[in-house]
Amino acid sequence: MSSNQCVTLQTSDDEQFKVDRDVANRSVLIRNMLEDVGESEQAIPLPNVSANVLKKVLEWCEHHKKDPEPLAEDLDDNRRKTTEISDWDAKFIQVDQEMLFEIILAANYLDIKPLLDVGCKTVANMIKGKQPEEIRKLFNIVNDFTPEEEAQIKKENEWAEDR
Amino acid sequence: MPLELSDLPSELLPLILKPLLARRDLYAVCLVCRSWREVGQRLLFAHVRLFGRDLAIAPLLFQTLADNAQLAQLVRKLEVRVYPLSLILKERLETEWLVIRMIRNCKNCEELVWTRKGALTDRVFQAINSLRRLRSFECNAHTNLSPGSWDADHFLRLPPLRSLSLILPDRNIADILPSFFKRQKEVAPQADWAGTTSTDILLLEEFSVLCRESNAINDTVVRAIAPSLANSRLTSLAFAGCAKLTGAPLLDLLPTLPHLRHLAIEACNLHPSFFTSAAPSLAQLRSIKLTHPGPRHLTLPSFFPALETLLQSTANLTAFTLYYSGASSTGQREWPVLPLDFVKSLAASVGAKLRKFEVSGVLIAVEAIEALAHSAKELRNLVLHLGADFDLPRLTASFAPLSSLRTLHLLSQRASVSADDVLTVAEQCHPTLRQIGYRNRVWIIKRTYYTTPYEPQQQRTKVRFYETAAAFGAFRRNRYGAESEVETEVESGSDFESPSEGEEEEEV
Repeated sequence: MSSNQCVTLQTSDDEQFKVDRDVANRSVLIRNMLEDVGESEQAIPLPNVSANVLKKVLEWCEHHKKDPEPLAEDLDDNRRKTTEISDWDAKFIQVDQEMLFEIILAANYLDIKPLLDVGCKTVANMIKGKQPEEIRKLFNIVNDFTPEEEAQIKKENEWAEDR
Repeated sequence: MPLELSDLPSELLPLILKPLLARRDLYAVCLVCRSWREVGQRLLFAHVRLFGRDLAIAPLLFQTLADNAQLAQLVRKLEVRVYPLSLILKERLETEWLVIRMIRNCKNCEELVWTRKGALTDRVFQAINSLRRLRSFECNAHTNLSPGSWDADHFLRLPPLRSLSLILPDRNIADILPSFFKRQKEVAPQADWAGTTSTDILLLEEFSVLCRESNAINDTVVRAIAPSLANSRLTSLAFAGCAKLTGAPLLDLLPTLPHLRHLAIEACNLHPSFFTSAAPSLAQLRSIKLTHPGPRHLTLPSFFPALETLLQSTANLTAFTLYYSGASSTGQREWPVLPLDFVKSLAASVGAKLRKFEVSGVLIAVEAIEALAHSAKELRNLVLHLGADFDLPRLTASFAPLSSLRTLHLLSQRASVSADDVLTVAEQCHPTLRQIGYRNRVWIIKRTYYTTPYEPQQQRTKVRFYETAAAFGAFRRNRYGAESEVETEVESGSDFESPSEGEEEEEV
């Protein structure tokens, strides 16, 4: 299969992107669709992704198009590496919160595992070292605990506090 | 309305919180809201790890897990490396009863580490044997400690294990091992995935024995267990400090282990000819961990040539560990040296795939480091032991080809290298570097990226160094010498530390 072919992607807001097949192939969803339909001039509809998000996602795919398939031992490695993010990815993911969540959502929908990882690790890094109230404020989360529940959780997890 | 974290599908929350390892962070996560609590507590209890300073919280944790069966069922890995051992019998019995209740509650526990001297008793072992999902067990295997002695026969009632690690096993354990492995074969699930009837396949994948100059695990014992290990799935094998273990039974055993990938033989009674003879059966090896025989040892002249022969047949090796820790009888320490020719030969035969090179207690010259870095450009983890005299700028320059380097630890007899010098080395390494150490100090390297309003197109880098105590020595902890787990140590360790006083900032 030639990897230089182009693929057209159509976003939810009806914009079309023409990209190299090996860029598009970073998305398992698109790769599977291409394998199913075979050679086609038709645009692939991506009803869950808007143009400004897809542009950003494609920027990532373009940079990572030559990445080798991860080895089994690397996957194992990644699990251990936790919050480490590569240099280029760290720069790439310097975006506002809304775009960050859009990228996570798109990476999940398009099935781009390494990009999803970068997004999740970035959010995890934002949580690190913060108190519950700070986390709620940062992400606009409502505290839905009763005081009794809160006391119980504190008791159950007391061993882990400040450790 | 802008997209918020709570708008994301709920199945993404575990993925987002999974990278968090520090207990303090998970504690906070549990208190955010109900949906976070569920995910957070699962993560917090999945791997419970007590070590070092955690002794203070051990009783509280034991109590929590003993009283709350639901929480205890979340535990997949229970790692107890510190344990409160009271001198008062009554208190000791209370603790014993507490941990028995805890262990019985941890029904889903798959991995158990129980290494504290004296923490294992007959009744505790009975509780351990009730864990039917247990697949990995690491314990202090001395049966006759005071307090805490137990019957080696308990080993015969363990469920089929994938990983067993014995620390300081004594004669009783050595005697039970042959029947233990036979029993393990009997209890292993018998049909394989292809549906063919394969009987008597040991489930064990990892087996490690750590002794301290003991005669307990010797040639006779290894010969006795070899038939059970033959044609098993064993991928990792480690023997350390078995002073009477020679290469002879291993030369018979190794050809029968088709899946072996990681081999560690430290401070055993190996003759260098072992490496030459074993070479044909070790072609698939990924990592090797060995000890230097010592600068005055009679076999030294043939040690490195024999090792060269072995490395010429291990084309897939990714990790090489060699160390020497012996002290001389005069108290004056004499350091062996890594010959330049050996390093050149190693670089030529395994350099291309090598990711970890850790040599401590054996001195390496800058010229040899240059030869290594020139061929082994994929190196990620590097531990080097320098002599008292080395050219710092030339050393720094020698790391330039290493574009994937993640951790670098330099040991040296030279005290005159300042912290600033070390951090300068770090700055000149490739930006993949996350940790640097010199002698007994270790720094975590954190890079952040930002732009200024004046030059929005221009990304700037800020480099920060955090000194940490947690990572020191971590490079020796990996039993089989496989790729380093240093970074897990770093992740979980760095959060305890506040930025060091000498915090440095640099703008690039």
